[in-house]
Amino acid sequence: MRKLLSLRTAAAALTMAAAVTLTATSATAQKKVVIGATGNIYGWNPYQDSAAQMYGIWCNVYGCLCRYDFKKANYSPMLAESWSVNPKDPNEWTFKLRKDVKSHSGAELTAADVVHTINRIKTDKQSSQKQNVRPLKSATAIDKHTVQMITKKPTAHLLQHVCDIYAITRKEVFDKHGPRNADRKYPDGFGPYALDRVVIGEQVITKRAKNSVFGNKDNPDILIWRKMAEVEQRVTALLNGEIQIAQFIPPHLMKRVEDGKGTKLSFTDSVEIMMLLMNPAFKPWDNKKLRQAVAHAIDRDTIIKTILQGMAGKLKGAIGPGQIGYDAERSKAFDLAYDPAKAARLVKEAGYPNGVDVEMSTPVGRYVNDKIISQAIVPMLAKVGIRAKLMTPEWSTQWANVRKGKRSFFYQGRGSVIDPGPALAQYFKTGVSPRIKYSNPKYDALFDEVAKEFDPKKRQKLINDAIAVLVEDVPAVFMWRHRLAYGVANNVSISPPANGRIYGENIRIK
Amino acid sequence: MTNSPASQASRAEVTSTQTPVSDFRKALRPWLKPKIIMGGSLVFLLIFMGVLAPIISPYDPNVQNLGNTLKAPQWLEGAHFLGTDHVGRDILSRIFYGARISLVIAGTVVVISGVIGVGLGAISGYFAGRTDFFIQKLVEVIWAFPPLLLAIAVIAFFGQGLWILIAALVAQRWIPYCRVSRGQALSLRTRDFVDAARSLGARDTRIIIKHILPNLMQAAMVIGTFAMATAIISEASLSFLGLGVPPEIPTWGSMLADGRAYISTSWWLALFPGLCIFFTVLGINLLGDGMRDIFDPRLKRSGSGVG
Repeated sequence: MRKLLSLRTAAAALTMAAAVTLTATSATAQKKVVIGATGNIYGWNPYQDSAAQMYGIWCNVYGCLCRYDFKKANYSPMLAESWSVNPKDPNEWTFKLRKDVKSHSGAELTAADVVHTINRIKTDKQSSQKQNVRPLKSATAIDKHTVQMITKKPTAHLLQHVCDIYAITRKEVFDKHGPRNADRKYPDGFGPYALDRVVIGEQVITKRAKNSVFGNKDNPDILIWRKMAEVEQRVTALLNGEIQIAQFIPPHLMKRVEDGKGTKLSFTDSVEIMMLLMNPAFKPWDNKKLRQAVAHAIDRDTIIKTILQGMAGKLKGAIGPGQIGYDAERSKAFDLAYDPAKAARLVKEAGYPNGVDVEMSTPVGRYVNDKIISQAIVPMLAKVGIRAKLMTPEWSTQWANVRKGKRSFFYQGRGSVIDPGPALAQYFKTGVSPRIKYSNPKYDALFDEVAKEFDPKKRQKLINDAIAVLVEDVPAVFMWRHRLAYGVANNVSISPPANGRIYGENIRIK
Repeated sequence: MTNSPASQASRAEVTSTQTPVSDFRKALRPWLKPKIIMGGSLVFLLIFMGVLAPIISPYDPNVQNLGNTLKAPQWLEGAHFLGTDHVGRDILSRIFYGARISLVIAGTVVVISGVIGVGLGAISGYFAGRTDFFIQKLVEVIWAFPPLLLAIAVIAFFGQGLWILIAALVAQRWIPYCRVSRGQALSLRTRDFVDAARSLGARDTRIIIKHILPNLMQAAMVIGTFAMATAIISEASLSFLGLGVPPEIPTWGSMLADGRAYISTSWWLALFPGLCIFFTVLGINLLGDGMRDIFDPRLKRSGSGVG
């Protein structure tokens, strides 16, 4: 009997212990989401890199003044609650900060932090984001929660440089710990996620900040960006449950994700515009008719249908739906239709009755199916008399040469085109960058007007007038915007961002 | 047993007819080892595919058909025996033309590397002293670079192209020839026949060309076979990295690189060029191994070197 009692006691004790363990486990179970990311992880300094992925991570951690809302097709507040431009002086911008935002350690957000951030972007030796503060002449804290930014000249697209870009770091932390330790040892942001760990080249681990005013309880408690450059690696990891979100699934692997037991696909239209650029500084690309011939020689519809399996939207003109300045009506006139007979005629009219030999270069693996697309373009050009020799340098070589203006004819994307002002100026306005030495005074004048015009309607008209010049001169064939597919675990929901920035508040776990 | 003149004559006749056959068989015997037969067959197949590619290929290897992409191997039942790739090109035709490029690149690399390496090795060993010192320092410096990294650097600097690729591969591949040749030349320069030539008034150039170089050929041939295999692998590696020949030239390495993205959905894109590289390198290595067994006097004496 005593033996029986002791057995019962032991069983009860075991049951209780199990119950306690289970309760404790469920109480501490944290919702974790791992993102299989394509970009590199550079380090602790939030201004060190200028890639969409890192901007997104630092906006999660440190918070940004504002972000672009693709559903509303407009900028929405984050750390700034509002902003305005002085109607009497278009150079004067005022940002009002939220008063209820506290850092992860409980410090208040102040205008001094914003001014410090701008100065740091400008002066930090490691900064790769100086271009984003270049339009600014000065930034001043008017009061504890108001920042005034003065631009060098009227810049209607200033928010394109500010929103989703400026990660606001604390002045006090930087002053106290210095540049070596502030980001690395004492990261204290205002964003919804606190930085836990950075492993350069591998992953960034963040944890939901308990005192954050952003997000809600459905968001993941732990959010990790893990570098997985190889798409097969991302898909396999997603199917195995190792990661919950896999970035950029190429068309030919979509079925694998769709057929996965616990996975699905989620789509978004990218704001990256893909172009085939022709540098007029090189012969024969100084010949407008030859450039026009290229535009009519490429069957973009077939490439989208076959190689991209429908996962791209053809560009008519330089921009598409959701991008500032897009005009559906006017864009119809910007479509340079596939017409090989016309293209062949233009090649002859350009002074090449026996065809012409050119060199074309493409990155490999930088953009969706980039090399394959370029390979498909080569015979299309050959058909109209443009014999292209395709070069496939590795990305760093290609990118360095593009930036120096040493590439004559190349396939290239321009990301983060929400407001087309900076991108179209960067590539096509005289003297802005050496990438394409295209120059047209009419286009330059129009873009000067675009930069000054704050009225959305008038601005839209000017942007389209400028695009019309590009469509006539064809320094680039505007190809398409990719439709991006994200692989997502079934218990996770996310509206994939068109600009490549993933925000924890937009991720929900069931 | 009779010992008549007639029988003697007939015996002599038999002997005289049998002796040449025996010599031929004797000479042939070392070459009839399994690894030489297998390796030689694979190399012959590579040469056959490469040389006859324009005749035996069912399609132009560069003709694309975007309406017919990623078709699985149809074997004998369809138009594309090994299927089509991501832009609708016939994989079998590309394999045949790829063999041609592998053969051209590997062959050229081996010949150029051999000429440079054996030449410098002979000079280095024959003259010894300062000449030897400088040449061997050069060898040590170049040998210090990782081979693939050196090739990548050459291509990154000069750009892509068939001849640049060959130059990039030659950049370091002449060194094994040079080292072995130098060692042999150091030994040969003290031999009697060299002293005899010298005492007869032969100049150094003549001695090197007529007496040293011919004695370095056997070792060079063995090194050449192994160098050929590594050249094929290096070409494939560089093409895999997108640094090989321009994409319009089909190579097994670039086919493998293109097929990598489709490995889980369209396996045939990567499998066939991968197998070709594997069997070619295996064949060349077997052949090289067999040749080394034949030419290496130590292996001959010990009776080893059997396939």
